[in-house]
Amino acid sequence: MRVLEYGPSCKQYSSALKMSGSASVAQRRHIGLQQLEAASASTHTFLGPNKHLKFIRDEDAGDSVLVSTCPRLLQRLELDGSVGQLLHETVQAQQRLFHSGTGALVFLAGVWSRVALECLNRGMSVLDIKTAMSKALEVSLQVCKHSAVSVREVRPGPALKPAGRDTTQCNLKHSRHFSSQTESTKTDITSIADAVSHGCKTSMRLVLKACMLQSREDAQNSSLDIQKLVACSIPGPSEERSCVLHGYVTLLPVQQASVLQSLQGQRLNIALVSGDLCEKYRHVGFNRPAHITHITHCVSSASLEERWIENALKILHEFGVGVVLVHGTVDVKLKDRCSSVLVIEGVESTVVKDFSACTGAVPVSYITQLDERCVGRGVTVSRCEEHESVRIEAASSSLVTAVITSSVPAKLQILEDEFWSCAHRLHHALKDGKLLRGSGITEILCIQKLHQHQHQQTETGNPQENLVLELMAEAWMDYVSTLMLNSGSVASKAEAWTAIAHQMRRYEDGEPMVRAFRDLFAAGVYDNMTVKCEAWRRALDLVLLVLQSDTEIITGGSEDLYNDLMYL
Amino acid sequence: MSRICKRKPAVCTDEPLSDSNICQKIALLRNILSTSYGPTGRLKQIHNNVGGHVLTTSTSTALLKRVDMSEPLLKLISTSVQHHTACYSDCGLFMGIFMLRLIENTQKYNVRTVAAAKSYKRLVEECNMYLKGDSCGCKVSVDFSSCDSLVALARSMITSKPACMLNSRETQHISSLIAQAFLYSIPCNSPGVACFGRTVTIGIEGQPVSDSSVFPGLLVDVPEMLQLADLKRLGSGPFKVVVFSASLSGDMSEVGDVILEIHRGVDPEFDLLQQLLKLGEQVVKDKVSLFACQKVVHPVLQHYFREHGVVVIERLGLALMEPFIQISGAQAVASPCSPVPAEAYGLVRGLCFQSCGSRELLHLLPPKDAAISTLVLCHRNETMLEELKMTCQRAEHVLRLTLREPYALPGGGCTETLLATHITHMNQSTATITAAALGVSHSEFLMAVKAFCSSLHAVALSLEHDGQDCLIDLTYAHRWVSDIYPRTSARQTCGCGLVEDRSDLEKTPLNSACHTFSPVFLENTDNQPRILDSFSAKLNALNVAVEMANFVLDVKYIIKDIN
Repeated sequence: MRVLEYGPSCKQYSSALKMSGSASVAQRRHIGLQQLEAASASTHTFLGPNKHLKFIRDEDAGDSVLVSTCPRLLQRLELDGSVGQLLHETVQAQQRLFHSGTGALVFLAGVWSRVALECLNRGMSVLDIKTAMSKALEVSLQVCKHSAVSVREVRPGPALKPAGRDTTQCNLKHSRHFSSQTESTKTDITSIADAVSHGCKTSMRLVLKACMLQSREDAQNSSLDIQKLVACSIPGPSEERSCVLHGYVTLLPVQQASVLQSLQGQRLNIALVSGDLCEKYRHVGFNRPAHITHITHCVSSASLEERWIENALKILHEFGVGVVLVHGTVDVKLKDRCSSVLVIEGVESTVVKDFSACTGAVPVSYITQLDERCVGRGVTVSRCEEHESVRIEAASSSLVTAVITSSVPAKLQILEDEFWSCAHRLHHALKDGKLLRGSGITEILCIQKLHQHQHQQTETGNPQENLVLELMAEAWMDYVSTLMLNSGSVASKAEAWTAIAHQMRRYEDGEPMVRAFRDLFAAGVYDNMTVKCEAWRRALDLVLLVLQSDTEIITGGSEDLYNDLMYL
Repeated sequence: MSRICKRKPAVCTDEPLSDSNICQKIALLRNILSTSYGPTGRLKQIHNNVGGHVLTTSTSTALLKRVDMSEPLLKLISTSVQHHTACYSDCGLFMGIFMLRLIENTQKYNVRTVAAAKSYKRLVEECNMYLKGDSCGCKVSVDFSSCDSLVALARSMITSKPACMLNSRETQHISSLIAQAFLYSIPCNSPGVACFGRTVTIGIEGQPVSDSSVFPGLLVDVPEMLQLADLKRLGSGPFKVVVFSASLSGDMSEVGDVILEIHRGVDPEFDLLQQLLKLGEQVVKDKVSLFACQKVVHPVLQHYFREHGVVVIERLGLALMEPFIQISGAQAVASPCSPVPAEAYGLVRGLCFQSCGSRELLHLLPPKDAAISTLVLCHRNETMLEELKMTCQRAEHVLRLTLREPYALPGGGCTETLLATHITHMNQSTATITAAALGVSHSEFLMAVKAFCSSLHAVALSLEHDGQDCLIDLTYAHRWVSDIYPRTSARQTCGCGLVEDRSDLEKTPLNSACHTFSPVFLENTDNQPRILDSFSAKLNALNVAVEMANFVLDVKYIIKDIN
């Protein structure tokens, strides 16, 4: 008798069928690459400025959500299998670092998988495919390096103006910062922002304003400090009410409305709490003893909490604290009983850090730690009438908040994502100091360079290398034509191919780049250099990892779970 | 109400190797290992299918650690390979493939277990004698007067792990970093017994590989609230240091999982905190500038230290404790309850910020004779970084092994073909005498030699994954791969790069019948093998593989308690 046990199981990706004699490999189907291609295909409509929203329904939970970007889509899709998981990890990593470029990454991972599959079908070895595809990427990256333009040379498109429509009472007093900008800097950063706005003009306008609010002290040197930027989403008011305000803006808890009333217009003391503000909270790494019995007339936990609240209020009162920013959560009863202190919970740690630096407040873990030296000074609070929110400011801080509003709550996440991706695109444009021509032009230059390389027959090389370069050029073609199709400039991919071929010929015949590609370049769109190159590299890394993989090993499943798999 | 369950009888499998299911699993494991072997080895993606992290690897250590085996025999094999790699860091796949092939071939050639065991033991001794002997032509001396062979050893290890995803420029960069880290770890001018230093490896995801570098001293995460101004206030070193191995979180975890009865009016948390603050007072009074703790430090104590200008590094972790102690000469203090003894204090030469790519780290400068360095590895994504980190750590360990035995063996399958040729040739004429001495029949002994040598060949064959033919030359017995595209510029060489091709060099497909010959040693050549394997690791892998194969072949029953 044998007992079935839990054990890992294996899936083979490509089955190599040994034929009689030494001729080998009759059938090569690489399931992993096929999966990657299929997963990528579902995101093709995300490419380009006109993003088509996708509606995802969760049958089990009964809820549904709108998505417009790859990271959000993959987050929801719950791809099983290692390839889906790897794709998800790659996209998350790109998103974490750059907040953009994921559309291109996923698209390229798909079309390059198809290239690799095609090469396998033609009988190329994995090593040769790897070498040739890496070379093709190297060629393309060189194109980026050589065709990059300085941000100063950016040809401005239809200008984005920091529209004055939200001159509400909240930011009226900052309007002078706009006028104090020297004309040249203003145009510079505005046209850069415009160039990388990628169709999200409204969001980019917010970013631009954040930028100007931040650099009020140094108008000559406009830059965007992502670390000093927060977003606050408020459902209810229409999208036109979105604005950028100096300081930290957050939703105002209902209980605190009257407190705020009494604090407005004063210079307040501030306390920062890095943990939760409640009796039960202990710092990370503190292990609560499991078995404790209190002997005789034991103090009930209710009165313990009561005593703690009283003590906390006493401390806050003693040091004249008017505002408490808490990173974690706040005891509900304490919130109710704070009649003279504004307590805000769930404050991001970057915000806590900024207030610490600007007010001299030292973040504490426990409220009992608070002493004279930990309390910061000179904070003002105000209420934004329009949207039930509170604004907390430290005079010397450059922290700004983008208040994003929408009457359609489902759109808030999309708007916030859009805002962040605009902010990062502008940030990287300023950081790189260079931009790439967008709307597919850089990719067309790649196609051209790959064609040139095919003609330079290398003597030591592999004769099949040309095939790979050609397939990679076709993959770029696919990319540009999808971009054109999504942007509505052509009715079909076939039409796009003809248009591209036509423009390439014009360019090869000696017309200057801007003229030759004027149909494409009309919009004056630019892309980020580092973001794009990294997305390409990550996409190829992923494809090559999957290409070189032949087995997926699943650990921890039971043996009856997967009938078609082998077990160790 | 109590219920009595009858115990189930144990399950017994006799002759486990005749069970087709077990044999199938052995073949599957062998297939997984041999498809992973070498620079073009195929990668395995390991995950739990419920959204866990995916490990992409072709390294035996990572593979076997993650994969649980259902069969006791496979568990035994897996454990032995893992144990080998834990000690030698290299040749894990070689050992696994060779061992499993030996088991399979013994069954295929129908050699009796007893005869096989005796013969294999004899043959592996011949291998040992050949490899250890002075006349061994394939052994390469590691020359410590130049970096070349060290870098070549490191490079061979990195190129054999394709999941690191490095191009040739990056491979060269990382190989020289490994050699550099190894050199940093050798103490110089230390009196008495010399003791290896340490290399701490840190991974940074999302940065290009070219940002990787090695620093003398120790790099740790910057404590949360430490700023440049704080370091400036400290001035220049050296700084007095104390390090705690006990938790200073102020909890009662030290008393263990016991039932506590607490009287009214007693607040143990408060009392413990007071004790910590008393400790803090002493440390400040003793003019300590850097306070380190393996575990958590109570925020109130940290606050106290910050106010007194003491830099606090908490949650150092067990792995960094030893290097920290080495670099500072401090003794780890195990309890916060008693005062810190004077001899426990140590010194750090200096503190500064070091930015590696996007990450800011705190650099603890070592005293001149401390052989501690930190290898900072950067890579574009997590799964590649993981493989790179592991490979670099193993490569550095292999370099250390060369100090014990300053030799390396040609890689690229050449050592295997050489050994197999030598063994076949040696036993051709003496088979009768040897068989008689071992007490086995002549034909059985010949079969055992055949099983042994074709298992060695199988390892060499496992290096090829793209359907190209593996060849052996009939002069030097090195391994070759038939080249599909004739490359005009570079002369073709054998697997390890020692022998250059020439028109009169006769070659034959590996594992095909050919006449026996004694391999000629290549003398007076300017060529150095490009691919080197660790001598110690390979020798041990060979021996343990044979011993384990004999052991597995000898298992008659498997008895499993299924209760």
